[in-house]
Amino acid sequence: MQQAIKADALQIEGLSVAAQIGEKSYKALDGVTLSVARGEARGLVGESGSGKSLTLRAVMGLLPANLTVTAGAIRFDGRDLLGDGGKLLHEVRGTGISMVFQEPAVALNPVMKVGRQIVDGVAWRRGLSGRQAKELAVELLAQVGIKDPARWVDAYPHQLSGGMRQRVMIASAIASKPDVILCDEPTTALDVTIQAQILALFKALKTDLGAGLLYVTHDLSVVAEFCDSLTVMYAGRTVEQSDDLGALIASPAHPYTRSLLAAVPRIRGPIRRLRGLSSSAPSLTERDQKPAPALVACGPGRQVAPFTAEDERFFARDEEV
Amino acid sequence: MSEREMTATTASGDIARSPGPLKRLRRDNPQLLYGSLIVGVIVLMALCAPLLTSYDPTAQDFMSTLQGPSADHLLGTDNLGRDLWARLLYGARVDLFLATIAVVLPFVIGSTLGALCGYFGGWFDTIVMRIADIVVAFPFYVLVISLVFILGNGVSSIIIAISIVSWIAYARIIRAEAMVLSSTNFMDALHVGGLGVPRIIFRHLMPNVLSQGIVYAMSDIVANIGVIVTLSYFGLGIVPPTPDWGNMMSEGQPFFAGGIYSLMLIPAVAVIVTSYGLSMIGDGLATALRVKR
Repeated sequence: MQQAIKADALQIEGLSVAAQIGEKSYKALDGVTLSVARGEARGLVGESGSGKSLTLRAVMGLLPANLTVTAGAIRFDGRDLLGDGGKLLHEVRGTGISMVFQEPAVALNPVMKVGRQIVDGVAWRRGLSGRQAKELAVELLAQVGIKDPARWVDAYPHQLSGGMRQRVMIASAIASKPDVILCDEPTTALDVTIQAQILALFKALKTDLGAGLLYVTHDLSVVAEFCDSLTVMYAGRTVEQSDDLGALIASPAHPYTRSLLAAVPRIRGPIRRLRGLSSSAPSLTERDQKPAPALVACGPGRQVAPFTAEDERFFARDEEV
Repeated sequence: MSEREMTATTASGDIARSPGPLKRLRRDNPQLLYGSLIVGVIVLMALCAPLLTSYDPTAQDFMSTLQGPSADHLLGTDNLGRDLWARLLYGARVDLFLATIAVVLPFVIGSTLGALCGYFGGWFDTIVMRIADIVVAFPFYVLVISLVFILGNGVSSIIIAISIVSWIAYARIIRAEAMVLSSTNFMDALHVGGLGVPRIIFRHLMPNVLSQGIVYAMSDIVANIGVIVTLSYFGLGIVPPTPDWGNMMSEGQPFFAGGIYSLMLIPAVAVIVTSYGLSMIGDGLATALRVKR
């Protein structure tokens, strides 16, 4: 029933990205499929190198020179972003889709006042006057929970703490009221208390703005904190996903998801040894070059990649640490 | 007594906490302060030249040639009886003006090309940088002197000749900085923001990379004074009788062996002091303009 109402703002379908290394081409992403609706927070988890951040960069057209999209579609409101030589993508960037980076310290312009830079794009597009732009900046800073925004609007990034810088990044991401916000591990560089504050802010913004969030992280506790749905990636492929986070966690279908969830240390229950993932993802050059099999539906709003008994044995041999 | 001590410490504490801007500059960046003072005084003297001397720098007076310093002639006169103090002041006008203009032009051209090269890379970068390689393959003075020779003596040909050669340093400095910046998240964030390329380059990229170019520009003014003075010394560039420190030196040279040192030494000292002041400004700016992260 939920499916019928949901209109996806961002759809990624069968996205494949090839990396050119020397003469050879390797599959960095292979058939990644996921979607984000307005008002939905989708977690995107996987180990380092599984292609989470690469997926976001592909959506934003920020792939390095030696990486190219070889197959698949990225649709925003049903329109293909890859189709028309980047024109639509350029139009959508900063208006329909925006992005929050992992390291706010290196993503902000160090020689521009924060107030000016968070509204720079919007002011330019809407032709705002200097005063209007500043008022908007103060408003946005207040919205992301910066106290005394009228004072901080004239500060430079180096005068701000790490948490405040991330708030500024978020302010510039929401300045144009986007439909989808891509978050590339926005709390990884912050300490735990600040992380909790930023997560609370994301939660509030999700309801206030009605935007869809695609939240990349390797921290399952962050997912549990505020995501509605989850996509699990492994070695450049979508392994399993569900529109209902609870259902996936309760009964993971893919053996990799099972071992991933089993690796989460538990505070309650009987004391046992910590489990680790022995099946760490093969490096880019060692990956299976066969095309990824299509995902199979395995429940309402749930899909899983087909797997063999051999895969099951491979992922099940978790080590005890 | 202890109370008085306390008041004293608070009073001095207040002073330490909020020193005036000049005091703060002297503490944090003395080079910038003293460099600006030296250059400021010289520029002011050049601007106020008519107020500081009543002599015409080109007026000859054969009744009083090669005089030593006196109340009439502060620094004495040269072999044609021209007042040295007046020639020094008016010479400063010519040299400083030329040296500055000959920095502004290459600075603008070089930084813009450098930023474009660093941002775009690819064939544009290759073409511009190969042209730069070709230009620097020639020895600097050989190229400048032949250019001035081809273009003919005069102010505009000096500016053009220097510009053709010295934009390269700016282009290379700015290109390197722009390349580093282009590969950071900061540029990605701007692209994600949907900003247009000209806006990214001129509003975000340039302010981040220009400081190195500005610092270099200060030492480039020094180098230009040297070039202009050298050109005039060789009889190229500024045409006599227009006063300029270079042709003052070359005209004073024949008398050096005869024991009249001042004709050559006075303009030489002026060149050295001005260059020293500009170098100090350059060092000071390097500190002041460092981009804080």
